[in-house]
Order: sequence, then structure tokens, then C-alpha cells
Amino acid sequence: MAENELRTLLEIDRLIHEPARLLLVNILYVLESADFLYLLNETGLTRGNLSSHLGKLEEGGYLTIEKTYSGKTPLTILHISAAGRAAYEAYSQQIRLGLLPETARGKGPKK
Amino acid sequence: MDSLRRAYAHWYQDGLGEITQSPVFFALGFYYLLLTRLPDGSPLWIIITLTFPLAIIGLVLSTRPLLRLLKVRITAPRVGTVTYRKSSQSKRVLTRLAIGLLLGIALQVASAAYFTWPFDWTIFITGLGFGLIYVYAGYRTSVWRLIIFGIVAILGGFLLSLTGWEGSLALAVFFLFFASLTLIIGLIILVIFIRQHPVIAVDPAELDFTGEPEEILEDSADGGE
Repeated sequence: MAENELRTLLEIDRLIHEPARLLLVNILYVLESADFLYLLNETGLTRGNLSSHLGKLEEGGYLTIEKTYSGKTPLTILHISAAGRAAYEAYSQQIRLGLLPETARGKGPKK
Repeated sequence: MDSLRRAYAHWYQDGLGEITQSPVFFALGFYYLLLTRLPDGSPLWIIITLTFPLAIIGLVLSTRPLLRLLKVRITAPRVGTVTYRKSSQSKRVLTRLAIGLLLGIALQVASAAYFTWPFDWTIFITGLGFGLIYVYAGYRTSVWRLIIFGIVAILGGFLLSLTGWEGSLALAVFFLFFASLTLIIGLIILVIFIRQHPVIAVDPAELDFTGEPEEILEDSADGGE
């Protein structure tokens, strides 16, 4: 493995690299949107922790949080942004380049 | 299971899909059953044959809003809701072309089989078509009961094709059986789903998106983020 490929690991996006946020971005990447309850069930995080991680991702411009209503029920809907998509793709690419042998790298995240 | 499969499986976890499909299958079953009772070419036979396609299209179209309504009322308050990404237009065109090609080939095979096979090809092809759709849906979502529905449809179509019953009767039995199967399984899945997933209230006003998260990964020595 070339030295410069290993060094890509030093440049990975730490906002996404945190496991809980990586899981959140991975879930949202394949979807148009998901609501808070879906993410709560899928990740197993506590409400407080989940909302804080979502806040961090929103702060980084990686997702948008929309507060709306479904009938009379309040609903929080999360969308991954174009920047979030690009960051996740770049992160996957860097991890593959840094950690996987050339033959096992594949094409990128499943869309 | 990857995120996309889990998201697709999310759609099927409540059994509502099967429950809302079953009236369509019941309608098809009763339609073919009625055809066996009416003399060919009678005025009622003609009226039913001409109007049924419209009735079935209306029924199919009305199941979708009903399904959405039930999802909003039953599923969303328990396990949340997702919106799936639409595939690109070129991918959709290719998928439609592939389906058209497959249907064309199936029709050709069916036409050839009509003269050569020793059994009722109509019910066999119907069972095969339904079966393949369910198997494909099960494969896409990793929902095993859909694959089982598919196998049952293929086997049912094959067995009914050997009975020697006239086409309409075999189709009536096939659709009524399939309607009952999807309704019963759908209701069982729905009851289990409701028992396992109580309603969870999430008020956005209570959510604090500005707090500090519990980091699973500690920041690195030089300060991290």
C-alpha cells in the first residue's frame, strides 16, 4: 500500500468518524428522509444523545432538521444535505484507500 | 443487513401491505368465481367482463391512499417513518423496459405452451408471475415471508394447473386462497407488531439539538473537533 494512501486516514472527517454519527449518516444516506423516531429505533441511542448528535451534524451542514406536523402529531424530519452526502462519500473513499487492499475496495457506498 | 434493506424491510414490518392487498385478490377471486356461474356470452357475463378491469384498477388505486393512512395512524407513531429515494429516470426507464421484455417473453412462452403443455397454462403462468414478484420483493427487503408467499404462489399455480379444472375456476381458487393467506398472515403480523411496538410520543419541542452528545469515540490528544 502506498504511503500517501495510508495518510488519507489522517484527513478523515471527524464529524462523521464518530460511530453514532457515522451510523446516522449511513442510515440517512440511502434515504430521502427519516423521522426522529425511526432513527431512535434504528440506532438504539437515547433521545438526548440522538438529538445532540443530530444537532452536531446539522451544525456541520450535513443534514437539515425540519419540524412539522402529521395531522395533529408533531414530527421531526431529517434530511441529509448535499454536503453530507459528499462528506460521507469522501469518508468511505478515504477509509477504503487507507485500510483495504486495492483488490477489496469496491466502488463506494451503496446509493 | 445494510441500511437500505433495513429501510425497505421497515415498510413490510407491520403486515399492512398484505392486509390492503387482500381485497384486490378477493375481488379477482370472486370475479373468476362469478364467471364460472354465468353462461358464456350472457348479458351479465358481458357487463361484468367489460367493467371488471375498471373496477380492479379503481380498487388497486384506492389501496395506496388507504395504506398510507393506516401507516400514518398505526406504524408511524410506533416505529417512525421514512421516505425512500426515487431512482433516477434512466434507471426507471431501464427497469420498465426489462419488465416489458420479461412480460413479452412470458406471453410468448405462454402462447407456445398453450398448444404443447398437458396442463392449464393460464393458472401456471399466473402463479409463476405472482410468485416471481413476491420472491423479488422478498429478496430486495430480506423479508422472508414474501419469499414464502412467492413459493406458495408458484407451487399453487403449478398444482392447480394439474387439476384439470376449467380456467376460471382454477383462477378463482388461486386468488381466493391467496387473498385469505395474505389477509390472515397480514393480521397476525399486525397484531404481533402492535404488541411489540407501543406508541412512542416524540415532541420536537422537547428535543435539544444544541446539547453536547455522549461521544462513543474520545477525541484525540490534540483536541479533536
